[in-house]
Amino acid sequence: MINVLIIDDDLKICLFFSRLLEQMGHCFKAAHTISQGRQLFEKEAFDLVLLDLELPDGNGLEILPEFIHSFSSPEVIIITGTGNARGAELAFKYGAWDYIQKPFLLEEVSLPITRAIQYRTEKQAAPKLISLDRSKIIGESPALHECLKEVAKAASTDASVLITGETGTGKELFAKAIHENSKRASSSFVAVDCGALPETLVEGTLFGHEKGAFTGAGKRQEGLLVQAHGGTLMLDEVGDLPLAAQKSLLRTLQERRVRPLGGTVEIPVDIRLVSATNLDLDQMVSQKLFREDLLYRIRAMEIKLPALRDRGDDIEEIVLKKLHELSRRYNMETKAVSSEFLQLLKAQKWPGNIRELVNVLEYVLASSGMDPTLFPKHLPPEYRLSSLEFDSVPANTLRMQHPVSHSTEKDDFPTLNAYRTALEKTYLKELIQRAKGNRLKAGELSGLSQSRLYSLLSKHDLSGFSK
Amino acid sequence: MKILLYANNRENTGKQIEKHIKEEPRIEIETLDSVTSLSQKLCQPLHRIMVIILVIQTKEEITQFLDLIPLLENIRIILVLPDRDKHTLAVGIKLNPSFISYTDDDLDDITQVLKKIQKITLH
Repeated sequence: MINVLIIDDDLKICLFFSRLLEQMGHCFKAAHTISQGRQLFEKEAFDLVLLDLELPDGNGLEILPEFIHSFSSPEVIIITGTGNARGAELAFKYGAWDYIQKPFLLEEVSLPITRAIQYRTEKQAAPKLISLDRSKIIGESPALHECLKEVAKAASTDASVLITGETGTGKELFAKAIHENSKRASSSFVAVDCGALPETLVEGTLFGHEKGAFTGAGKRQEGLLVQAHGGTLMLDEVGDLPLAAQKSLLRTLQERRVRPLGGTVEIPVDIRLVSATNLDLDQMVSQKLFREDLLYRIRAMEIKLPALRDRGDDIEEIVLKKLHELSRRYNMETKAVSSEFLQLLKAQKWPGNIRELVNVLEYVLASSGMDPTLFPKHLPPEYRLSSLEFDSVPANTLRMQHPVSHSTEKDDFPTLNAYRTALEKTYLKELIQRAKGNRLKAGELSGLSQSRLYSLLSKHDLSGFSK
Repeated sequence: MKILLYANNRENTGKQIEKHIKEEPRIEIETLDSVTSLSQKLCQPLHRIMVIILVIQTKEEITQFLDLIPLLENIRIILVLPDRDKHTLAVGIKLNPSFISYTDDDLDDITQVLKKIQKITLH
């Protein structure tokens, strides 16, 4: 049975809905103001709220987010006599089920109520989301909580999941969390690092091979797909899979059988697939670098991990926990953290995300020696520089386009450090442009390692690469 | 690229792998022959090890590495197993290796994987 809360100051409307709900066989409570509605809502759980907007003590939209984000999270139908597009837009944005304008006919309200109740009943009958053991995933930011909800959904099903996100966002950690919270938790979690495997070794590693299948195959070897039987197979950097291996993988997923290289017998496999990538697979499909049918297979669900800069609220917790963890590992006393140190960390762009942050913390622990508290001075120089605004020296920056020797005015002559910094920024901007946003190309052109590129981009507050 | 090679008995496979890798330019290799020394190395800050090659000689030896899993996070592992037994492989997989080879396999495969890792690490 469905429990409905009616909030409307018009007694006739309340009576109308009461009768309708009685006929439909549902329970209801009525309130005539926001505060009465809130009181009733705090006392019991409702499945559906019929909410008027113009109430004596305020606009119904004020209380709508409270309802939607509450534990019972009821469906809400807005009933209003002075409807407008903006109000409707806001109501839908907050998550309202429907928006009905007075006066209305019986059919106009009974159908949305029936549909909302049907949806609610189906939702309640659906498998409950599991209580997630989040293991090593740190943070409480809204962006992270959205991801954890998706992880819980994924863990309660057996659907293929594609985890996307920038490098260093913890894709493997989330894949493990899905496995460890799923019904397959007691079986193997097998991760395949597709990015590290040369093309010649990918298929043998995944599917296995028979003795003599190719030169060097001296003995029969079981593939990792078979090893993952009953459990979860994680294909890390799935976008790096060669097209030939993509075809064989698709066949395996469709038929749930593996044929080792050089083999004639197929082995049945029951695996749950979790893939991860930092590449744009849709774009790769359009460039014919990734099979569309395989993408369809591996992306029944997609979890997009937020970049660290989009979950700034989590940085403090991550820093404290990681510092504690690293200190224990290095057999050091846990250090206190100054607010300036945290502020500077929060101000970074973190193109390499959590992995980059942990590398910085390692550096900090090493550089701080016996100092009991961490201050900005313990950070690598490039992370301290990023907080300074070099662009605020326009005269020097303008000079960058010309040889220094042309400068005649002493005041305009830049210091070597400022000159070098501005030149570096100009170079990086040009590099990003030349590489067309492609990090691999930028690495090739500049001869810089990826981590060095990241730190320089961060230092100059430049956006990262699109590819 | 800095790599660690763990090989308890370097007279055999470990020695061959070490020799093979030392021929590769731009790969710096450090060899350790006990789990304790490996653990101590990983407990040093800023060790900057990108890859560890673990050459396992016996089934019993591999279980010792399970305790080191927290220290091996963010380091790619190349595992060289002593046999093709399902149980040995199942234990090896818990170490989350990037590549699994065997003591009787072609050592060129390990070099190829190292080169691929080097390439992706540089970019």
